[in-house]
Amino acid sequence: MSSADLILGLVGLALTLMIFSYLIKDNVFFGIALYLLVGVGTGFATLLIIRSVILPMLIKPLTQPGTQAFYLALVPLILSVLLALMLFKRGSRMGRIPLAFLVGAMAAMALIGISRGTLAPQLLSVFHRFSPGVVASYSTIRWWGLVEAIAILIGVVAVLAFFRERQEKLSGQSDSSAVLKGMSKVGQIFLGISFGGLFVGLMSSALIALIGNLSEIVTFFSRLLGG
Amino acid sequence: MMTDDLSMQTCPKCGKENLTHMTRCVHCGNELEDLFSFDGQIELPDDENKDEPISNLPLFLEEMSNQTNLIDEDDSESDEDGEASPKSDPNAPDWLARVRERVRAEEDASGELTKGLKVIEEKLEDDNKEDSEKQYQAWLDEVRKDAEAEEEKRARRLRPSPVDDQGVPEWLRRIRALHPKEGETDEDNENFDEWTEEELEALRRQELGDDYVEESEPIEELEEDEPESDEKIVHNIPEDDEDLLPDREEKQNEATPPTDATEAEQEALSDDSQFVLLSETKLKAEEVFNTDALDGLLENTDDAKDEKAERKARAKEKEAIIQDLLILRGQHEKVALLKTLISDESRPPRTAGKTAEPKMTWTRLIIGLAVIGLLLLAILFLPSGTAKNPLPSMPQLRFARYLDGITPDKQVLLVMSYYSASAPELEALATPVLKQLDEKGIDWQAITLRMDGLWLAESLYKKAGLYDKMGLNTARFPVFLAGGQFAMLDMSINQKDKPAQSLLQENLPQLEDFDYVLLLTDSSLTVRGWLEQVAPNQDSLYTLAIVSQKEAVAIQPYFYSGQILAYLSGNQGLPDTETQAVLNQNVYKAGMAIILVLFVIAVFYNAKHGRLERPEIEVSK
Amino acid sequence: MKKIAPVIVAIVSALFVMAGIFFRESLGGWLSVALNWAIVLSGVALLLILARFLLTHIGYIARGRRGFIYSLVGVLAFLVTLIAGSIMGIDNPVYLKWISGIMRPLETALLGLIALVLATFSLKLFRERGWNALTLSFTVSAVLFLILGLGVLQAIHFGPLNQLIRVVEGLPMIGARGLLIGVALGGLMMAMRVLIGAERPYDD
Repeated sequence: MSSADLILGLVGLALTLMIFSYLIKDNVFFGIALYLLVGVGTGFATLLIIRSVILPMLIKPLTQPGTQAFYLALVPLILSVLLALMLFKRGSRMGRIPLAFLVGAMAAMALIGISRGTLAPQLLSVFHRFSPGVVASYSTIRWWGLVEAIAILIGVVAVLAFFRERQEKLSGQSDSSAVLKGMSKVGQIFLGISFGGLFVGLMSSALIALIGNLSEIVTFFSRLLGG
Repeated sequence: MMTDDLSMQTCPKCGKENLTHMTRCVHCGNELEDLFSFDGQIELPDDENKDEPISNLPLFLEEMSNQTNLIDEDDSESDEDGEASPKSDPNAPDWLARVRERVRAEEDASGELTKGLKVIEEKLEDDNKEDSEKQYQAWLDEVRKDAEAEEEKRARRLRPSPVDDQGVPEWLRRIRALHPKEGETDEDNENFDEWTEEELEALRRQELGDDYVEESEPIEELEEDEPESDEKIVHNIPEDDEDLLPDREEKQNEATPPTDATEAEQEALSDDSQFVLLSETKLKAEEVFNTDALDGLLENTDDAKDEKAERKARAKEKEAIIQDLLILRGQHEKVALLKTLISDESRPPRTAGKTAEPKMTWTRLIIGLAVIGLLLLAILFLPSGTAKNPLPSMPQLRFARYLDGITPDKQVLLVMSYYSASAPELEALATPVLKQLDEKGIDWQAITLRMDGLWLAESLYKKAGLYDKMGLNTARFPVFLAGGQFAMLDMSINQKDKPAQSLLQENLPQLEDFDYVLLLTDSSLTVRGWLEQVAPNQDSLYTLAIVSQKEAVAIQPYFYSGQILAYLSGNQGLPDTETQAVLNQNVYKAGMAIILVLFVIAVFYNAKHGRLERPEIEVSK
Repeated sequence: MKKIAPVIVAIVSALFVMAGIFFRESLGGWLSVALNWAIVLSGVALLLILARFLLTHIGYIARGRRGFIYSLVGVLAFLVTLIAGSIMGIDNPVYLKWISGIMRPLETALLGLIALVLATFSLKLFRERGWNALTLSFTVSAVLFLILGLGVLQAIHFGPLNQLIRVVEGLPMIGARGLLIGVALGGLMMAMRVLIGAERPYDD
C-alpha cells in the first residue's frame, strides 16, 4: 500500500467515523466533516465553472474583438455585470433583468418539455392500455389487461383527487363532495403503496452505501494488517 | 372593547398629554372629564354630557364618592318612606341616570360592564340602599385595588403565588394586608378623592417609564378556569387573573375567615407597589372573593330564590368589572403587549412532544450501533453470495435483451450523473454492462452532468477492469456538460452550422451520431430532464437507464410508457452471476432482514402502546 | 417602466425559446446562442452564490461568531481546493484522487447514516401520524417490498406466486404516475403564470 493510499485510507476512516458520530448526537466532529464536504465541493465547483463556462464561453470570445462571437458575448457580459450588482444593496434591483431572462427561458423549456416529455406520454400511456391491441388479441379479451388498465386509470384519477381534496382543505374549504373524498381515500392507498416502494428503495440505496463504506473500512484494515 | 391605539388627551388644567383612558392627569392629578369610552360598546354622546362626568365606571365611582352624601340623603329618604325607585329616581346620581339611558339605547352593545351596572343599579333601588351603596362603593374600591395589586404582581413577574399553611395564597395575604379593619371607610373614601404626591409620582412612573416583562403563562389556562367567560379574551385579561378566579371560587366554598395581615406582608406589598392606592378600604378578602359581600346587597331582592344563577352572573360581572378596571388603570402598553401575545397564543403549547427527544437519541444510537455491528459481522463471516437472481423483473429482462441487441456498428452515449454516495450501487450495476459493451467491441462516449463524474469515472472503469485498457481512448473519459437542462436542450438542437461557434461548449458530442443513450444516474430528475428536453427532439435515440434503487419507483412510469426502453436498479442488475459478485448479496440481504425486523417491531410497539391514534396535540402546523 | 422591464424580458425570452424549439430549422442556431447566454448566466449566478458563501463565513471568522470554527474549516477547505486545482490542473489524476478520497467517504457515510436514521424513523412515523389510509398502505407495502427484497418469495418458484410478485412490483407505478402527472400539471401552471407575467419569481 502506497503512502498516499495509506493516508487517504486513514482520512477516509476518520471522516466516516466523524459522520457516524452523529448517532450519539450532533457534535463538533460531525459539523467539521459537513463543512469540509461543503468547502471541498464548492472549491471544486468554482474551479470547474470558471474553467468550463466562464473562460470558454465568456472571456475567450471577448478576446476576439470584431468577430461575431465578440458581439454576441457582450450580452452575457452585460447581464453578468447586472447580476453581480445584486451583491450590493443598491444594485440588487438591477439583477432582476438577467434573472428574468433566466426565468423566462426556464419557463418556456418547462412548458414545452413537460407537455411533450411527461404529460402527453403519461396520459397517452394510461389510455393506450384500453386500446384494442392491448386489451384484446385474437378476438378474445385479455381480461387481466383490462383490469390492469382500469386499475391504472382509477389509481391515477384517485391520486389526483387526493391532491385536489388536500388543496381544498388547505384553502379552508370544508365542503368537498363525497365522491372527491372517496376517491381521495383510494388515492391515499395508491400513494401509500408508492411511498412504501420509495421508502424501501431509499433504504436499499442507503444500505448499499453503508455496506460499501463498511466493506472499504474492512478492506483497508485487512490490507494494512496483511501488508 | 379596548382601544387599539395609544391615543392621547390633553389635561384641561395643565395642558399636558395623558393617555386616553386615564381618569386623572399624571402631571397634576386633575380629573379628566368625558374621557372614558369603550370602543364599540358605549358610544358617547358628543356634547350632551360634556360638563358632566360620563358613565364610565371609575368616574362613576368617583362621583359616587363625591355624591355619597347626596345618596345617603336620598336613601334615608327612601328608607323613611319605604319607597324604592320612583322616589329615588329624581335624586339618583347623574351617572346612574346616564347609565340607564345608555343601556336603553344600546342594550345589545353595552356588554358586560353595562349589564353589570344595570344589575347593580337595580339592586341599589332596594330599601337598604344606603348600606348597599356604601358596601357597593367599598366593594368596588376593593375590587379595583385588588386588580391593581394583581397588575403589580404581573409587572414583577411573580410566579404562581405560594400558598401558606392555611392555604391562603400570597396575593390574598398581601391584599388583606392592604385592608385595615372595617370602620375606616369614610376616611378612606375621603382620601380617595385626593392624590398624594407619592401617588402621583407612582402613577407617573407607571405610565411613563416602567419596563414590564412579557407574561409567560398562556391564556388558555385562564380559559380553562372560566370557559364561559369570553370577556376575558375580549378584555385581554393578563394571565395572572387565573389566580383570582379559582381562589375566588374556593373562597366561595370555604368562607374561611381572613388572617390578619402581618407587617411583613404589608411591607412587601407596599414596597412592591407601583400602583397608586386609591383607597385603603377595607372589605375583607372573603367579602370580595366570594359572593357573600354582594349577597349582602341583594338580601332583600326578589331574586333571592335564584341565588345560584345570580352568583354566576355576579361572578361574571365582577370579572368584567375587574378587567375593565385593569384597563382603566392605564395598562395600554401591557394591553398592546398582551394582544400580541394572545395572537401568538395560537401557536402550539410548548410542552408537547419535547420529552420524547432524549429517548429517541438513545434509541438511534443503540439501533445504529446494532445495525453497524451486525453488518460488520455479515461482511466478515458471510460468503460473497453469487446466487443467480431467481426471478428477474421485467425491466431487468428487457435490459438484457436490448443490450444483447446492440451491434458493434452502433454508437452509445454514456451520460453520467450521480454523486459519490451512489457510486457503490451504480458501479455494481454498470460494471457488467460496460464490460459487455467492451467485449462486443461497441464504443461509447461519456459525458457527465455533475462534477462528481470527473473523479468517479476512474473508479468505474477500474472496477470494470477497463481503466488500463483505455489508454489513449480519451473519449471514454467523461466531458463535463455545464448548464443542466439548458445544456441538454442545446445539445439536442445542436446543429453543425450555427452562428458564434466559439460560444459553444467544446468537445460536445453531436447527438445525431448516437443510437443509444445509457443514463447512469441516481436522480429521477436527470432522467426526467433528459426525457423532456432531449428525447422529444431526438426521435431516433433509444434510452436505457441504470438508476439507484431509490429512484426506481419514480422512473417506473417512464418505463411503462415506453419512454425508457429498459432500466436496471438497486441490486437487480443484469441477470447473471457477475452482478451478484460485485455487490455482496448475502450482506445486502442480511441488512434488509435487519431493517425488516426493526420496521415490524416498530409497528407492533406503537400498536401496543396505543400510539396509533392521531395525537391530540400537534407540535407544529 | 422599471417594474415592467423584467416582466417584458421574461416574456420575450420565453417566447423566443418556444419559437426556437418549434422552428428549429430557422431559429435553432439563435436558440442555441440564447441557451448559451443562459448557461453563462447560470454559471455567474452560481459563482456569486459561492462568493456570498465565502464572504459570509469570512465575516463569521472575523467577528469570532459562535461556531466560527466550522466556517474556518469550510473556508480553508475551499481555498486549498481552489488553489491546488488552479496549480495542478483540474484534470490532474493526483488532484482528482485526493478530491475523491475526501468526497467519497463523506458522501457514502452520509447516505449510510440515512439508513440508520430511517431505521429509527419508523418508530416515530405512527406516533406523529397515527393510522389512516396513507400510513396503513405505506406500512403494508413497505413490509411487502422489504420481504420481496430478501428474495425469499422469488426462490420458491411457484408460478401464480411469481405472477403475483410481478403485479405487486408494478403497483407503485400507479401512484408514481399520478404523482408525476400532478407535478407536471403544477409545473405547467407555474410556467404559464410566468409567461403571462402573473408570477414573478425574479421580483423582490
